[in-house]
Amino acid sequence: MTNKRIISGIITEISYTLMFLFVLYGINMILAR
Amino acid sequence: MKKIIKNFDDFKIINFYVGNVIIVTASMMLIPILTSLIFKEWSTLLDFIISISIAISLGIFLMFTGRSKIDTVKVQWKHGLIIASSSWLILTLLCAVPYELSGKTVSFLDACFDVMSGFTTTGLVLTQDLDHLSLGLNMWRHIITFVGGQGMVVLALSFMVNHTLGAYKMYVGEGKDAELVPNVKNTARIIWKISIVYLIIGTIMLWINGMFIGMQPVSAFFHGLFIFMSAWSTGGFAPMSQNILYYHSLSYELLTMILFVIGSLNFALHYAVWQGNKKEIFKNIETQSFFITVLIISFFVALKLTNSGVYSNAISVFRKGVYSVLSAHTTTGFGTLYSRQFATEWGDFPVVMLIIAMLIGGSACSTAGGFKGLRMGLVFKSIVAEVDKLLNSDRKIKVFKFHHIKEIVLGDGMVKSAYLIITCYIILFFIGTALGTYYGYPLLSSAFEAASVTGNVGLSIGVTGPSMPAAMKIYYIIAMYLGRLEFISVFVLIGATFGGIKRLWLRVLEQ
Amino acid sequence: MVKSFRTIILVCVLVLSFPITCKAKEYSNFNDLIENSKSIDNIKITLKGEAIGEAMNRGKYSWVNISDGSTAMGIWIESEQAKSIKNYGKYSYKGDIVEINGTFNRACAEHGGDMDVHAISVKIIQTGGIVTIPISNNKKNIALILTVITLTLIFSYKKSTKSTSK
Repeated sequence: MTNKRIISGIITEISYTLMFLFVLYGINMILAR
Repeated sequence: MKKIIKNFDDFKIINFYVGNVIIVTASMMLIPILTSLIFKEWSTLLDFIISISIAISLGIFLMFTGRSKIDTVKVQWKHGLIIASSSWLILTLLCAVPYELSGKTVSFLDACFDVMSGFTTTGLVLTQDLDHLSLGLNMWRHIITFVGGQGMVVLALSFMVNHTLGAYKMYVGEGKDAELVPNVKNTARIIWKISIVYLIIGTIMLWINGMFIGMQPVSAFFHGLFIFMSAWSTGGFAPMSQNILYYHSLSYELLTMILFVIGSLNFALHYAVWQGNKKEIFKNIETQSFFITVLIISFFVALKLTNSGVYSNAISVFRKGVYSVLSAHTTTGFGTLYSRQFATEWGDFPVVMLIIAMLIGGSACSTAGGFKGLRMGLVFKSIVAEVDKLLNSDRKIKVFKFHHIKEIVLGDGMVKSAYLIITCYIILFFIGTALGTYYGYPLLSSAFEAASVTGNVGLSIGVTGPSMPAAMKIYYIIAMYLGRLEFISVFVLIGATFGGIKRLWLRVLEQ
Repeated sequence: MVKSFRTIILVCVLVLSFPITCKAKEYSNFNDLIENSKSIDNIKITLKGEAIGEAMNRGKYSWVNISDGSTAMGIWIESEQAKSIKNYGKYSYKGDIVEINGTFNRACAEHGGDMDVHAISVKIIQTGGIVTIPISNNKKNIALILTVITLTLIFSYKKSTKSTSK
């Protein structure tokens, strides 16, 4: 596994997780008004 | 189960590898030794010197007894499973020694409880006075959970040089059955590599964030390191008694969320993504299952907490409610609330939602616990398949598939296995709940704690404590162990032990 | 005449006892705070505990967590006031025992639902300092003996594997 792959993999995972958390946050904000 | 006949050669092989695993794992004690040395924590230093000596001596002794047979006896499945299960048990005792010597645990049972809680990445705590704990002992607690997450056997595998024959068997005994690459030793190395890379990145992120929120550089570093190890392994230990509440920081909480969600993912998924296959995150049945169940449970928890007025603003609902749901569902166990608040403030419905989240758990072949998303997905698909079969005419034969790294046909065997393991978990959960109520704890609290134990979560509603009856402590230890090893290897261990005892008894009768 | 005198005395006693009962209740066991959180929400209380960890400066205000021995509570203090706390509890250190008077929040809206106390006054009751942890001679001896045994075993194992190498 090359270093480029590793960095790309980490960025992918972190960004998808952030997106997922953002979706949860959005739902939370709408519900908790 | 077939009777397993044991002769002394089997014993010796098992001894050798158990000794090996013990030595490799106990060597990790060198890290707290170094830490205590640097920070002049003399009492702790001696505690660890004593502990590591006992462990390594025992390990070498076991290796001595088995050394002659390693090239002659072939390692089989039963050996692998027994090695995995027995190493865990012996190491639980050995790794509890530093706790016991520190005086911060009320009894040796409590110390063993904390070790098992660490190894299984549960996160329930019986150690007292966390706020005054030595860096060395805190280092040890968090290393245990980090190493436990990786699997003690995988640890030993990575460093084992020559004996590849039995490697695969020991690995599966650990409860991780994804085959990343054909060679098991390489799989172990890759799992470690992924974890070490994240260890470096995660610790740095937490370190920097720690300094931003007002911590001194040295303490920010150690808190960062400890919290990372706990988050990645979905353990739930934290260096302070208030757990994540100590930091009073949204940014810190966010970082932990990112890290423990990623940490709860299947290692095969990590590998696939790191190989360039990004779509796998969406197509994988486990991430789909996780995404759906987290969404549904968070929705209902947020809704109820808002309507019953438990929290006055949306951000509080997120930082307490949604955070707890995610912490429970990934089986991490980080808390932004005091345990008792679940009982005194939340009301029954959100607590029930958390119990469900804890039982469902995270991904297979990861550090997470619970039924696992893979099984939930399989169960769901099998129900769809069954209903489809009933509704359609006999001539159509529809093949149902699911996606987990590759397209896999929904076979009866795997569905049966999923239902079987889920049933075992549910039984474990019900016994735990019943036991709690027997000792007078309220029903929902007993159920919450039982779910936390069964799913290796670590959130507590206040039941777990030094004054808890010993029977419950023992049951929780067993349940954490069974839950983590997913029953099979432990059943084999029990079967082999009784098989061996039976044979010995027969031998005695013959004479 | 006597009756009205008695009434006046009674009224005076009642009026004077009022501020005494209104004085903020002092808490030294934080579990009481947690269990009764709903009833003391937004009420001024006094609590006493050992400052642990460190003060976390967030600008004009800081967080200081104080412990009653088993549970710790977060205190939101003005950073200037927090400076008066010199010692914080950790391994072999006892933190200053502080008495905080402030508003208790069950789920502080300003702080994302955290249970906390917004401090009005901070008083150092007892200064902390280094705590020496005693090490028994037994421990030292056992550690020494065990180290020797372990090293011996390692040495003899290495030796026997060398002699039976393939």
